[in-house]
Amino acid sequence: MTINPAQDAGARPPAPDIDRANIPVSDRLPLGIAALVFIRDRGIVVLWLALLLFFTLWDWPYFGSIDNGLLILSAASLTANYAAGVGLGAISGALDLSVPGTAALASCMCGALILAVCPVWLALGAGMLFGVVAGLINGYITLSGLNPLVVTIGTLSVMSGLASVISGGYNITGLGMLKFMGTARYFGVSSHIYIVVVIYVILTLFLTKTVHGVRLVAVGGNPEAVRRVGINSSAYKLLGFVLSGVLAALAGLMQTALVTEASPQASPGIIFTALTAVALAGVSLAGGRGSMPKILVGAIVLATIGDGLTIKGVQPYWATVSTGVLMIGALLLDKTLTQVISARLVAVADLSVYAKGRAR
Amino acid sequence: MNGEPKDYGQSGMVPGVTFARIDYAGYGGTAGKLGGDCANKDFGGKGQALIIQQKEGAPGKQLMDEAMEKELKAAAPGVEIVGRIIVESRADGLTKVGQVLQAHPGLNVVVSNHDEGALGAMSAFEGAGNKSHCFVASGGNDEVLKSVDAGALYGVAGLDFGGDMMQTFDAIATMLKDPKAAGRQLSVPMNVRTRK
Repeated sequence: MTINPAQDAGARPPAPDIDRANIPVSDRLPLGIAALVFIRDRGIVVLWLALLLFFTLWDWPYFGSIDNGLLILSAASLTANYAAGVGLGAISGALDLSVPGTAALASCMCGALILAVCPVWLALGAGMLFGVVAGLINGYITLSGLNPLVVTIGTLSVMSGLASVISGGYNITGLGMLKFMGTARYFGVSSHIYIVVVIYVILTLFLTKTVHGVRLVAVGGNPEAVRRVGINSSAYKLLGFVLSGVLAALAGLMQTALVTEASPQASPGIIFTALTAVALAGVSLAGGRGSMPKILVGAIVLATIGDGLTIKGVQPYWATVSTGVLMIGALLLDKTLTQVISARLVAVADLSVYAKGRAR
Repeated sequence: MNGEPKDYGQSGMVPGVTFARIDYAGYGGTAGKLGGDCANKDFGGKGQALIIQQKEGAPGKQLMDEAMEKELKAAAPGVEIVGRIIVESRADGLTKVGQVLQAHPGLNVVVSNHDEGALGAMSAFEGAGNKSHCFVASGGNDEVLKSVDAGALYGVAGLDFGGDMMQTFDAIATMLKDPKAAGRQLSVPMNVRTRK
């Protein structure tokens, strides 16, 4: 039953002295609801831990080793980097589907420059700079009022074609000098893992601890509201595209370094894998909500599934099936938990109001 | 024409038409046999093998996959096939072969249905510090051929499309001389190269 204290305020006698500390009203969530909130907000981590436990037992004794853990992280690193670009774009309302094209063109530019006897650092710098340019192009065209999905599909096609023009349609091979950021290991850990950790730490700090990062997320949620408080929302949307472009270029260069060849192929599979990691992380594709660490865990979850099934020798098609099932399951769990939490919070709020009414 | 008479509703060869097909079973089977030969030479016919397959829907995939395993087992009965994985790129091969090595550290034979799978496997073995191996590929791009010449890959079975063009021109010349004669069924020739 719900009691509105305002309705019987007039008939209420003067409040007696009451020990308010003993009234069962608290700002703290009841334990059950707190647990549900924890599972919802940390669901991806819970899922990953459950997968680790499952595969450790199922693939005993091969899965649960440090070497295999490093393999999982290494396998997740490329997806994680692509997912960082896609996820950051989604959070800031600049969802960029041209990521594979940017990666392919940056990769081919870098490869062609190296073969043209350009210093490696300069070629890598040119590749990264191209990521900035790609982001600016996507951003400026989108800001003219066009749909970002359509614009970035168009630029994906353009950049993919240009990558083939540069490479003549063939892979650019003989890029062994990039191994230092590819297959090389430092202290037993793949170079890719270091790069991804640095990227995610920087992005997490940027989005959560800096004014510009918070504004970037706010623009993704409601650009009009941000604009009305006097913030240049267009500049932040442009920043979202630029960051997405830079991360895509970096991912392309990492992939080139890993296989020591630059491929002009802009595989659309990259974008779907990255989007899967982003969706698993609970990032709203409508913008304004998401967490970089969760995106990283989303990428690791995908790598964990692939690793566990490959080690067990399960037919590879099941990795694709289980990834899809997990994604839909994660979304349904998120929605169901949100509804349950809301219902319980409403019930608790009613009780609190009742208790406060009695207290008066 | 590409294929066989039955692909075009014909029950047999017809005048003025020569057909050319890829012998997928022979192609995959040759790679499998090379894997077995390497295991026999380097490991006394014993070991663990991994089959790297092409992605779903690739032309001739089933024929190649089946023939590869059959010929590998026939050539080296003492080799156990411990895994079959689908690899789409070199990076994918690097990752997945590394994972298979976790479960099967004794893996010493890798037969790949394409170049990138074999090159990815080589990187995975290198990363794991494993120098005891037989790598074989179907394909034969420049990088793979160089690896065979350098001894890093045991062998490669490749389709010889240049040779196919020559035999096709010969068939056309023959048909021009006698247009009423039935054409021929050609098969794309194969090049096999093994380490010295």
